[in-house]
Amino acid sequence: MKDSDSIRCIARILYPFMLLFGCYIIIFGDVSPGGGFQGGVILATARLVTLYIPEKADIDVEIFNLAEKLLFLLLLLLGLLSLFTVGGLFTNVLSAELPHEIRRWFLVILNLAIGIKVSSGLTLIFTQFVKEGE
Amino acid sequence: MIKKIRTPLLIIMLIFIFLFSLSGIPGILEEEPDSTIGDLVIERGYSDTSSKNLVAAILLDYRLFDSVFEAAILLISAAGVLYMTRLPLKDKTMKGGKGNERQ
Repeated sequence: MKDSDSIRCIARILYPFMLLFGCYIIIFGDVSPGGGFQGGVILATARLVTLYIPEKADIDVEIFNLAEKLLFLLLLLLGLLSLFTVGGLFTNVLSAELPHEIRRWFLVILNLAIGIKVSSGLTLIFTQFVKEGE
Repeated sequence: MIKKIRTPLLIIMLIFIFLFSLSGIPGILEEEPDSTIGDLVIERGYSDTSSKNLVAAILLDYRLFDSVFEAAILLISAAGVLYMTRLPLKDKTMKGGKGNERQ
């Protein structure tokens, strides 16, 4: 199944569209259905498609590990930041008097952080499982 | 003696916990309340969090504390998978001593 030409061709066509769709789901997470977790899982599923593309099959796991750790620290920091600006833990950093168009950027940044974190974590898990199976 | 009554005691305890948790669900033992948390989120979600997607409003503002630790669970599981799979294959028997060193 791995050597099939048609699957390899379809995977090559599908791969950029899966990345694009995952990024769309993450960035528009606060105005349409979706969000960081869902888009991150779609991005990680794109990694499974690359197993059919021989030129892209080898990736370094360490950078995903590092990205996941740093982004988790960033998430904690973003949650703690609202204590100093608004006065309550784990809410929006920007105060409620600002217009909605500015306040929504906090949600976009948070969605991006969660999305990249989830996608790197699941990519790491998938890659390690595939390596273990071989 | 204790071993004989342990299993029925556990089953009775589980049944009591089940019945006790039933009493917290509205509409089964209690009458339904007039307004729920869902009505509050629909009414005030956009003005509080400026998110048009109310699921994102709950996940990223009202319950951000839970979301952060949901991400922590994924971090821990990924770290566990990495720890289990990064050892070289012949050293996985965990004999202790030299063979156990990480790569």
